[in-house]
Amino acid sequence: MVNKMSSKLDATFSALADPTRRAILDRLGKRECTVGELAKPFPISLPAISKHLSVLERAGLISRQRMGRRQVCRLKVEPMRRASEWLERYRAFWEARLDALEAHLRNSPRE
Amino acid sequence: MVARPNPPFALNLRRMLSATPERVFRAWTVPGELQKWWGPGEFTAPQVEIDLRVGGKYRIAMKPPQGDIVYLGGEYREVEPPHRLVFTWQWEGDPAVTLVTLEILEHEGMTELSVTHERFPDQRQCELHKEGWSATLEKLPRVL
Repeated sequence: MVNKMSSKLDATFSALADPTRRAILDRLGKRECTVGELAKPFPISLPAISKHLSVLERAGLISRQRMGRRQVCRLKVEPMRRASEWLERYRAFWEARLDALEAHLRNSPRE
Repeated sequence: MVARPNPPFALNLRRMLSATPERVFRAWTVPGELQKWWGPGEFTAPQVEIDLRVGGKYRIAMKPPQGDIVYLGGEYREVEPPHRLVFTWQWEGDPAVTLVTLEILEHEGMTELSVTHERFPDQRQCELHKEGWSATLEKLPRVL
């Protein structure tokens, strides 16, 4: 179970590692869009956008649905929420570590 | 609240510390030093091994107040004393490999420490690591 959750998080973070994909997710966070609408602001080709959308879909971050001639993309919130949770757990962990480091450096200044 | 993709796919924390960069770097890389501040709080670090060089490994035993020791380990990717240290981070039994970057810079008599923790730094490396682990660890996310 640890492995499955872990690889899902990996897929999420890997998908997020690209700025174009992050921008796509940002737009879908506001409302659902067609593939055409998503492609418009980017200076890259439609096939390239499609590739990004496939990565996002495989990571479970978006869903795509054919409606007539158009494809509508929608954000799926659960993976993002899990990624966010992971980050927050580590933030708490690191804040505690750095508090301890600060105290240690204060208490042993001459080393 | 829906998590937004901008900015956090990586975590970054910064602290201003009253110590020289050299001192801060030592606190992270000398086992006797690391033990003193990695431990206090919820858990202790009864065992710390560090082989400080590019490709060298570290391993830290972490003992929660109640429960079994969990091991944290990884490999140093960049070692540039006293300003930069980059290492992978992996809980033993968990296939996930993440990357920690420390930047230690002097700033007006103090030292600014920046810690960046990134998930999924290198897909190929992650794949290689995945093949090595067969054990499943039950408790480790709880220490966080």
